[in-house]
Amino acid sequence: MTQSAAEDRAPTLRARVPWRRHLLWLAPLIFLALFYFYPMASILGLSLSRSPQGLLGGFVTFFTTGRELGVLGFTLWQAGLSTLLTLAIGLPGAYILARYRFRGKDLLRALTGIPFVLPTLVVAAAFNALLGPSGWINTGLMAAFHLPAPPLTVVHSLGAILAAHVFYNTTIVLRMVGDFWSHLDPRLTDAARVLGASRWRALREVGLPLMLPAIATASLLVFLFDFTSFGVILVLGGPRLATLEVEIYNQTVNLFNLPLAAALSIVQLAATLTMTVAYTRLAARVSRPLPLKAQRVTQRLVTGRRSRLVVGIVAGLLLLVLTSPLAALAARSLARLGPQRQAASGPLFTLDYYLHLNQNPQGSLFYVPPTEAIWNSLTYAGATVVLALALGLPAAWRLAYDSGSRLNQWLDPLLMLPLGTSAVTLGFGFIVALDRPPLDLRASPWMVPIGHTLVAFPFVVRSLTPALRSIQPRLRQAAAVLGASPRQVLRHIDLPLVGRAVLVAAAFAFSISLGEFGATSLIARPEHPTVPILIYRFLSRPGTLNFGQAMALSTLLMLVTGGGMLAIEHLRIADVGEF
Amino acid sequence: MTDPQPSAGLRAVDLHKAFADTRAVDGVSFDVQPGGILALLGPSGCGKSTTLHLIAGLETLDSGSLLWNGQDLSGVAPHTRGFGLMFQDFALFPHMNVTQNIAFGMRMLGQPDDNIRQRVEAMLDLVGLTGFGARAVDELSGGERQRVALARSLAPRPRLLMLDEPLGDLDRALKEGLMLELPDLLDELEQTAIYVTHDQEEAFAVADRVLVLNRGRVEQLDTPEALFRRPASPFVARFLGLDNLIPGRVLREGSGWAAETELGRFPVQAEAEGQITLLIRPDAATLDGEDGPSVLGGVVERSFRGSQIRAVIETTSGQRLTFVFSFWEGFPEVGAQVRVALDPSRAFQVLP
Repeated sequence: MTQSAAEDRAPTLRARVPWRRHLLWLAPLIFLALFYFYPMASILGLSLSRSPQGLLGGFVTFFTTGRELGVLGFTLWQAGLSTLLTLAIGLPGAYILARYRFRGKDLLRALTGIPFVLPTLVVAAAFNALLGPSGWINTGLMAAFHLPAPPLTVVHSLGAILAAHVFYNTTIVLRMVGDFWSHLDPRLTDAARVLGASRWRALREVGLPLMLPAIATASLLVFLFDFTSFGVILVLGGPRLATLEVEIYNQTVNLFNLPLAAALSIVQLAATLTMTVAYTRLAARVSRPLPLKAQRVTQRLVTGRRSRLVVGIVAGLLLLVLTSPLAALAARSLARLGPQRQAASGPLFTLDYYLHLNQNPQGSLFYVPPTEAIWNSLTYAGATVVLALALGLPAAWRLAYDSGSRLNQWLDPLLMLPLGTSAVTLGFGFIVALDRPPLDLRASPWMVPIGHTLVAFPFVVRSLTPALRSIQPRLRQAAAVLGASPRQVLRHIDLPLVGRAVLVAAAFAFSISLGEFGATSLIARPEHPTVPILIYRFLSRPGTLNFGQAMALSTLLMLVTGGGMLAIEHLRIADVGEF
Repeated sequence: MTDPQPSAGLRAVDLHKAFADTRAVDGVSFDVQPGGILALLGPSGCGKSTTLHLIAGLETLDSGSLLWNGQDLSGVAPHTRGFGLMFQDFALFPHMNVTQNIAFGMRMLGQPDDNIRQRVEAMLDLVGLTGFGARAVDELSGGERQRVALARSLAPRPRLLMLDEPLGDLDRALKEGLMLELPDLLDELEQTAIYVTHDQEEAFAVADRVLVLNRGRVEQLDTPEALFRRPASPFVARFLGLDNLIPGRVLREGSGWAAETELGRFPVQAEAEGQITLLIRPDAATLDGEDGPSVLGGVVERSFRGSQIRAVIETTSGQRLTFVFSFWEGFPEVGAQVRVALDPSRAFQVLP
């Protein structure tokens, strides 16, 4: 009787509350309207406006100059090539992580997760430390063979870009394909083997077709990241190799051709949004019903010479590819190398690069001491965490509780749009839209944290929603029946359960803000640089001290963001989080 | 009928396989003659499935040997052994329809499309799924999946078919129907087969010989009837549902032997004195008999099973014994004291 009475009452309650609850959408939507849609609309307007080339001048230039089409071609080419190479390394890695249990596997998994969260500038610096003219390999060869100049020119070539992209994105393949693979019933391929298929044939006819959706999703995501890669290409590509992303930056910052930059941004936006839509469609298909098994069943110990060899080689290769640049970076920040060393022949080990972080050796007027940049970065990151949580929590709350409602089905993909927009496009939008009335934020210190919040917002929502959804209404009802007031329910039930997810979201926002370079490079004021901006400045200046300081700053940033990633892995409750 | 050559069929000699901490298969030997059906019977974790995987070549032997028609199988890859294996939960390929699943093995053999098409139709008819060819695997019921899996493993005409708990998850009615069909089907095809199960009824219904496994070791290898008539160990007896096992001692008594237990002294067949376990068969008891061996006790449980009545008797020493009586004997209610007479010619067996 009581239950049916409650059910009778429920509809009226449900009917009355919504409009007030929908107010929670207000802040996130206003934020997106002002700082995403308004800038994007401004870019569109600019690209369509009259320029020296006439109406739609930007697009005219884009399609009539061979250079711009060449840039688009190169963007696609390097992204495709990077994706193939990433698969070539990632798929064997995914195989051993999915099918075998071995000592040190957890460590290997954790280590392979680090590159993905590292700021692009750190990765670029790491490859400089390994392969650059003053890197370990070149200085080593110079010392060994008494060469006057660095023998290898890997940096400023396609090779360096590809290597950095593989380093960056192998994690995606390892995680997405590896996780799926680890739940795929090995008896399916066993069955094919017994029915007369050789090892390879069984993989081709049964294993691969079943994994194809997972492989395709991972590939698309890798391609998307390679397509929008900015910092890596700006630093490692040199002056001659430009992708769309770098070209937008160049046209804006160096050539002031805003209509062309706007047209490029629209092309970039169209491409990334198409890929994002394709990605979400594919990701939905991965969840098609398959007889998934627990890892306990699908994984086996490494026994026998053959599997020992396979696991050893693949794990070794993964470790080499994914940790050698990081080790090179950390070591390079503590080592005196290069021509100066031969002249001075001081000790190899040095703390100079760290000790100089607080000094302004040339007494230069425009010089910003690194400690100040570190302080800027930390302040911006703190502000980003506060902003992203303040906007992300209400949005995630609504998404979690009305998951079926029509409004949410519209708003959910809308919130994810910034994820499918490249960082440089976001920054360019800020420049175009927010430097004149009605919204003139040119001088505002909030410009950078707002930009970072835009980038972090989808990640925050995506990590909070599943956690909120996992709290069953029953728990709240049970607490209420036991005499808890709504406030007590929030304090004793919701917050403890959501607390970890909030921490994870905060760590995401913090890491993203610390490492963000694409948007920041366009919107940060020169006298208030962030750490990645300063690393870029150091890397583009000559001299051992500049290079060493870039290494030192990158190492610090790597430690902080890597630590953040490990904290996320540690805090994240199993299977919560939609990545 | 000619005697098959001694080396024809499968011969397993002293198979050993250990995983990290357990000896999954520990010295198992047996033969399967062409056309014969051997059941591997035992509780879960006794090494049945591992034995199958060793024969299929999906696992490698630690030691021992496998021979087919006298030829050593070590180093022969699973896909070239020509054996079929029907997996425990069928492992049907979810991205292929019924026809594609059944055709897979023949495609691997490189058979021409026409042959494959005809054979698939024939197999569908054989397992009673005519017209199901275009169905997706996830549209099938449990029984239909089982039939598709059977058809798939039979289609390439394997020299040896292995079935791993093929009736495992099916519901009881379906299981009993298939239990009657399967041996007929395998007989008709003269299919050499190894049948793994934990269910003794299934093993007895399907196989012509049964191998009982316990913790990777062979407890007994016999025909179903011999197995039931003379279980070789307390483990086998218990596994077959013969639970009346009492510790005792064999002594010489006159010209024969007797077992001395807490319930008294019973005449047995034996060869030497010593500690033994005495099995009292539940189906060799009556309520009338005046003299001869008997046990006294109170009825503590009584269940009506149609033509039989199953009763648990608790003796004065606290030992509980289960017996099966004919319905027509009119068995007393719980609480009554009874004297159960035991047929000396078949009630007692000495187990090690």
